[in-house]
Amino acid sequence: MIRAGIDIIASIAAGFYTTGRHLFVRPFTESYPEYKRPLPARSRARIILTRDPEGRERCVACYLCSGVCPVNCISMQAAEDSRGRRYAAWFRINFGRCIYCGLCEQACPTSAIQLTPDFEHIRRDLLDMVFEKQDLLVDHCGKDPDYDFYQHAGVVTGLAGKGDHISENAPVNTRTNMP
Amino acid sequence: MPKLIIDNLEIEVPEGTRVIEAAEKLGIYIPRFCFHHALGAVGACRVCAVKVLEGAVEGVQMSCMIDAQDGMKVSTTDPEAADFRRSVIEWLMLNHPHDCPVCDEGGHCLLQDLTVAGGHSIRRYEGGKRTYTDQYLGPLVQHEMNRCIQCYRCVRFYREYSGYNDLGVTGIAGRVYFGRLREGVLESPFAGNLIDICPTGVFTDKPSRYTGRRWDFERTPGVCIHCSLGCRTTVSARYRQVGRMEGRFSQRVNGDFICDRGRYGFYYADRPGRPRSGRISGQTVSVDQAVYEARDRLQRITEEHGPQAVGVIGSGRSSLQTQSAMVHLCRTTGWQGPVFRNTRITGAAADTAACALNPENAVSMRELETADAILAVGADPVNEAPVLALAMRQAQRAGAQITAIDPRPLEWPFDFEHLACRAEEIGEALASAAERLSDSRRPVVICGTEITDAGIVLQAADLVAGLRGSGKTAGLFCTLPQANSFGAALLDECNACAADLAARVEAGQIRALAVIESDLWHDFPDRPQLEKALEKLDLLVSVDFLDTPLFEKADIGIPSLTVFEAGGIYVNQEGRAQQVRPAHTGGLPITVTGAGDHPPRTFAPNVPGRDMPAAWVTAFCLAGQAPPETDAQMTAWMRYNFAVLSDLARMDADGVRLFAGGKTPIAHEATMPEKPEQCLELLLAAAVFGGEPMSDYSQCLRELAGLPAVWMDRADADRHGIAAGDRVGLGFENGEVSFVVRISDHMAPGVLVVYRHPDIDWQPRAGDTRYNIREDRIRRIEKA
Amino acid sequence: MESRVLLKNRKPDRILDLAEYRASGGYSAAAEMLQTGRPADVQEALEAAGLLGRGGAAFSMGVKLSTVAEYAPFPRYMVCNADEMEPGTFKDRVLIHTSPHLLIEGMLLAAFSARAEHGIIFIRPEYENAARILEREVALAREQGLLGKNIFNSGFDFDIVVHRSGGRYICGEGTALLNALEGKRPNPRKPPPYPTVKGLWQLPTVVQNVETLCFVPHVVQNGAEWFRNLAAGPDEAGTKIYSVSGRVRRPGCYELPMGTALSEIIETHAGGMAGNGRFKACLPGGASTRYMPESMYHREMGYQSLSDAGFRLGTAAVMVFDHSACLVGATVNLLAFFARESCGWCTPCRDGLPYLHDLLRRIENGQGRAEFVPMLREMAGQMGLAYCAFAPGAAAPVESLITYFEDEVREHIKAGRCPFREAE
Repeated sequence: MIRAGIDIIASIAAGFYTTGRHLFVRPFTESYPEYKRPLPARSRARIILTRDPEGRERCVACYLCSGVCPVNCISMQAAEDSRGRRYAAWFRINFGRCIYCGLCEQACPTSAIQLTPDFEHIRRDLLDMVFEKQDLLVDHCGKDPDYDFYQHAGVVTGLAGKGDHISENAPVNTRTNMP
Repeated sequence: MPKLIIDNLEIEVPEGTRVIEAAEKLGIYIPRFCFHHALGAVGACRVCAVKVLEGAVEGVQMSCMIDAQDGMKVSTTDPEAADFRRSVIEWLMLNHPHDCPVCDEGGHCLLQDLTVAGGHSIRRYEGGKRTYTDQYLGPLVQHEMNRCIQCYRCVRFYREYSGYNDLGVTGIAGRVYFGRLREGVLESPFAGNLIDICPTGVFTDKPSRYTGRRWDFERTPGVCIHCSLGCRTTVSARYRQVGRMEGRFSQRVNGDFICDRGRYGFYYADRPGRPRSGRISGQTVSVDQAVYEARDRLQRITEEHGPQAVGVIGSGRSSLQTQSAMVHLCRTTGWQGPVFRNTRITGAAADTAACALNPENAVSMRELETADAILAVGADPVNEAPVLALAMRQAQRAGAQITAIDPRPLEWPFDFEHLACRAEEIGEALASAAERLSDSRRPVVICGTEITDAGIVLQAADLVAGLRGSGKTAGLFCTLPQANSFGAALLDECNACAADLAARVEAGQIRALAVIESDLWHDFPDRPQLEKALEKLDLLVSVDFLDTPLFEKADIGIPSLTVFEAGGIYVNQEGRAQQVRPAHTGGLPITVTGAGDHPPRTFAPNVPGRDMPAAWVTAFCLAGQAPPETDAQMTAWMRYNFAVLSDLARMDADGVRLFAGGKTPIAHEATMPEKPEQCLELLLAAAVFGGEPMSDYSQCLRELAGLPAVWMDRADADRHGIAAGDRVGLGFENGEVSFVVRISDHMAPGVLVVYRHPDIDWQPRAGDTRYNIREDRIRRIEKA
Repeated sequence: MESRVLLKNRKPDRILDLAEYRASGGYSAAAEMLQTGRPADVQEALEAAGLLGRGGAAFSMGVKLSTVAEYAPFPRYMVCNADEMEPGTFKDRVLIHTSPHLLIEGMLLAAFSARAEHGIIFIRPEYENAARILEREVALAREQGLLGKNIFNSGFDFDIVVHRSGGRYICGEGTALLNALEGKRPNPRKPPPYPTVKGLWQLPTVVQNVETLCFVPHVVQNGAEWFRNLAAGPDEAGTKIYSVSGRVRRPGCYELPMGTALSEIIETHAGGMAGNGRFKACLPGGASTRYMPESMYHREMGYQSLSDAGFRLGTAAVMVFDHSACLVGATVNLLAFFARESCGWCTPCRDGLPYLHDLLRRIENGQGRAEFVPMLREMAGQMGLAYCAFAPGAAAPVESLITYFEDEVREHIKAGRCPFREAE
């Protein structure tokens, strides 16, 4: 019985000792928002639409991101400018639905849509969480500093003519059979 | 029937079935590009390779080029065949541009599908890609030649199947080019099918460019309602509007293809100007208000002046649901009508044609392709019912002799003998041409109803009956004015036409008209008479989905639903009733609610603009009755109340054929009037583009309508000193209308032909689709 | 120049004109056959003689004529294929410049056998001189009643038209030739039906090479036995004109017994290898055949003999390469030609041949990699599944290069340059 009593007191004392020790240990809690920990570049949070190295919009509104999105939070409408360049007339992401899975970034063939570590776009009102193209478009290349899709595609968009894109030969002269 | 084994699965197939088709029946999809079951097998792409393990010729063979034989054993998974298929796809992709994200074909691209299925993801070829410059091919088809994989489907369809020659293949080796010799609008009215058959994105739909991806569209089976053939289509809708239209295979009706009018004629359905709210005396009101107001005022006129004071006018444009609801309306209220025809002569011809068809003599378009002799009387398929021209061409390719009796300068994409004679001589010509069919075994007589009369239709029907009597498998094929003219003929009970009602309005008998989905303004020959009649009315109620001038003039306007929103049953020219499902649930398109920009940023429980009723619902309301609540209930109601529609219960995937069963058509003694002396007879004829009210709203088709022109026989033109390209004025009772002249050596003398055109606005004198122009009222305005 | 039968009496600077031809016995075979013989006599004689088509396919002419059915429809066509665009082949031009009437009489007899009244000589446009010669001589023959209506009072009508091709290699393919004559694109046709059943405008048509037709009067005159005895061995028949070119002292046309050994052709007749060259390889029958390596140097050059060894005599255009020749470079050149001349119908030929060419070109330019070799081997093998015989012919040099000269190819890859060219 005395042993039991000593055990009880000992275990309680051990607990208090641990707690007391920690009273004097420096906490490593990071106080947000005073301190904002830098996240790795691959962290998946707010989505942006990037531009190519020449500053033109990368998004060609191919609907692949909206097609792969598991929660259907992306919608857009493709349009063509006067020079034949396909782009998004409007582009909308409902961040209330978005689960930040990153499938859209994987699917994008032009490196336009990318996820960034910025998670501070959350609002109280659901409609404020629906971002339009002007809210998503940024002025830089994001994680891909090089890729310009329209240099690879065969369509003429004002950048280069037929045969001037990457891996292309000059257009066939259909008016002759000479080699 | 040969029995063969493919991948260890046995199947028995009809003689002549190709191995690739036999595999399809087993559910095994063998990759293919150049094979198309309508265009045949040519063995060009080499991607359908399989290994024949046992058979007459063993080893790797092209499954589209070998017939299934008894005892054959085939493997599609054999490594040699699979490796070869993989190599073929690699070779095709050597030159393919990096276009998929910006190519409209992505998502329904056969090349994409087979490239992925072949396990390819990297281009290991280090050479450059061959490129081409593209051509402008018109407002309908976009050309992007870099993407071509040289399957030759386009030229096989365009030149061999549809019979036009301006698109072809030039060049040799890896430089072959598919296009026109000089760029320009494609001449074939079937050019849109290039979009459906091209397995990559070389030919894409230009008007619907970049509207959306295949996986985003709601795709619904539909039926085209721009002529009486009832070809099957697939409607793609997104954001509450129709995006594009494709052809859909029909075993009985159109095969695989549709015409460009049907493909691009849907733009009337989502235009901003379309009626979407009620109108009372020009003021916008809710639909309910307009309906109740109309019902009340019509009731009052009925009480004051009797039920015969109200007339109801419909048309062949409406679905069977609407037409039957209108008949019920008049039965219930005692109102005059409903009349579905505008004029006496063509109305009688159309009704007679519908009543002349019976289960023995009616042939479908696909059956017509197997005819060995065709006699076309007063019909111009390319303009009236375009896909019929395709079917006739296939018959001619198989050896059929085709003869045409018609006054118009027919330009058909196949060889035929043209007996040009004036419209009133058609009967005589038919009698003497009948003996051309005496040697045939499966003759078909095609009878048009636009420029003929009931007598000619009966003559054609008698000819067919006679041929059948002498043991031939003879058939009758009549083209009718509108998509559901046959349905109108089945349901018509009042033996009158709109011209009759207009006369009664003028006489003061009828004081109110309810016009439901009718092109009265567009089609009625005597515009001054119509205008006077409308002025005299106490009340004009118009129910429509098109903002026709009649709808604008009406005292009360009630919007109705299009076929894309309401669906419906349409009966084609052979009596085949086909069900159309709604393509989308209706309401204002996003482009309207979002001010043309994008979907508005709101939550709302109701979709704006969705409270419009189908025309048949309005018809019930005007009768003061509650309509059946669901489509199924409506169909049941139709079957119950109309004996002639009871067979609808047997409707399956191919529809069901309905017949008039001995019904007497309206005014069948109506015949064409004699032509006075010193006159040229002017025929107003259907045109493939620009002649049909709904498709006229499509801007891309308007571009193809050309200039309003009048066709003259060379002798007549010489007599008046007129040359091709001159501008002439033709003097009618109420004034002169000017046209550009075209000259033909293949039309009847003494005849002027004007093809319908949206820009022709004229006030001709009384008549039908034919008028008489005095020789001294033909005036040359300027030389070419 | 060796001559036995076809090139006998050859004048060095002009044709054998009609008078000379008749004086040496020309048109007597035709006269006798037309006046007293039956069409079947010609066909039987040719079949017994074992005269094989000299245009490359080596199909028995007699057997081909036997496939023209008795009851087949009229009119029928006799087409002479003078397209001769197989690289390395020039015998048909020499024959036309030697004795055009031999060809005309051959066509006449062949037409008699098939009861064809229309003859067409389909000649490549570059052979303008030969075409004019033929037109002139056909007109002369017609004047003398050797062509036209009721020839030799036999009741048989036959006349010849000389048609210049639009000018591409694929027009030499028998069925593509028919499409070209019909005004269509010269894509080959896939038999059945064979041209002798449904050819030009779906009517019976016999297509034969110039050299083959030139033998016909001789066979008819002298008999099948005589023809067979002309050959070098019992399995072959007749003589063959070998168009020898390449690294030999005296390139040219040599008419020799069929089955003469390659070593004899080169050493005895063509003057041996040029300079200090040692034999490395040869293309036995034009560009679309497999390289024959040194081990085949003594092989009999006959259709049967080469076929037994896995090679093809083709047109017997022997192109000889010596030890200083880079076969990779030669193959690059050949593939450039074939890729350019593809008709563009089927995928392996249209898109696969440029791929083969590209790989070989990179190897020749020192940019080759080891993985190219299995790719070349696999794709060259797959060319056999193309629509017609053009692609497998084009692949033959590639396949034989990899089979017999893989070391040379690998040396290019390892060295990063062509070892046969001066180092840069």
